[in-house]
Amino acid sequence: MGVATPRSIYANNAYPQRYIFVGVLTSASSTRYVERALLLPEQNIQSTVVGVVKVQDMLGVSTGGLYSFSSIYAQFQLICNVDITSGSHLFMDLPV
Amino acid sequence: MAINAIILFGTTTLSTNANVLNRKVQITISSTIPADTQFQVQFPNLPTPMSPCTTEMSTMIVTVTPADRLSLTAASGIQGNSAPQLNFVANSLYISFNHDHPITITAGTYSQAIPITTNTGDAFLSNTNIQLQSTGFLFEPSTVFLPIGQK
Repeated sequence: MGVATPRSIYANNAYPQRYIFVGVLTSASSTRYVERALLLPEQNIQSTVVGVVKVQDMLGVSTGGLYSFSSIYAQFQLICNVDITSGSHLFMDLPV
Repeated sequence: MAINAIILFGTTTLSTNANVLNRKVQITISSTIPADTQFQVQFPNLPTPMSPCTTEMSTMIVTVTPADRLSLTAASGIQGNSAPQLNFVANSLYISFNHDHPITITAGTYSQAIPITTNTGDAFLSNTNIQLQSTGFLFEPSTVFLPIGQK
């Protein structure tokens, strides 16, 4: 299966990195998937993005016993190799 | 929807409202963060997943755009991240409505009084203020105060 990538003119030299959900149904009327996968494609359309931002850690969080259907005080530690100038927007696409 | 976000780097602390759309959080940076400077993004009240699960936080996607959002200043790659894997488990203690039984209401009428208790039937361990809201329904009262010790 191939997934078309955005043309630069449309993507505006953006960095199109998105999750792709693939599910297999036994028939068009099936109510559940027999197979499913969540792909994390690493596109190569990033030549015009010079900056790299890394999520280094989450601070002060237990990795074992967090409650679902609740809330946490989340502290993400990041670093970026270029200036993030005033007025910039930081987008964080939180994982599933 | 907006949530409070705090940016920390060096001795600088920035507090801002972040826009949330589904799983994407947008934060506007009001002071330049120099290159190669560690910074923290804090969300004092970040909702956790609805159901128990394991989440690989390194799969987070972070991008930085200029103010006009027409290009990218920086982007993350999943391989470059090193955030931990988090395990979310169900809390065995919760507030129970109507003892977890369905509530049947005739249209245009009020239901019987709905008991609000701990799921174990034990007393509340702290003062609890509950706000009741659901589309299409009117709660009377809309706010219920449950004092510590009440069963």
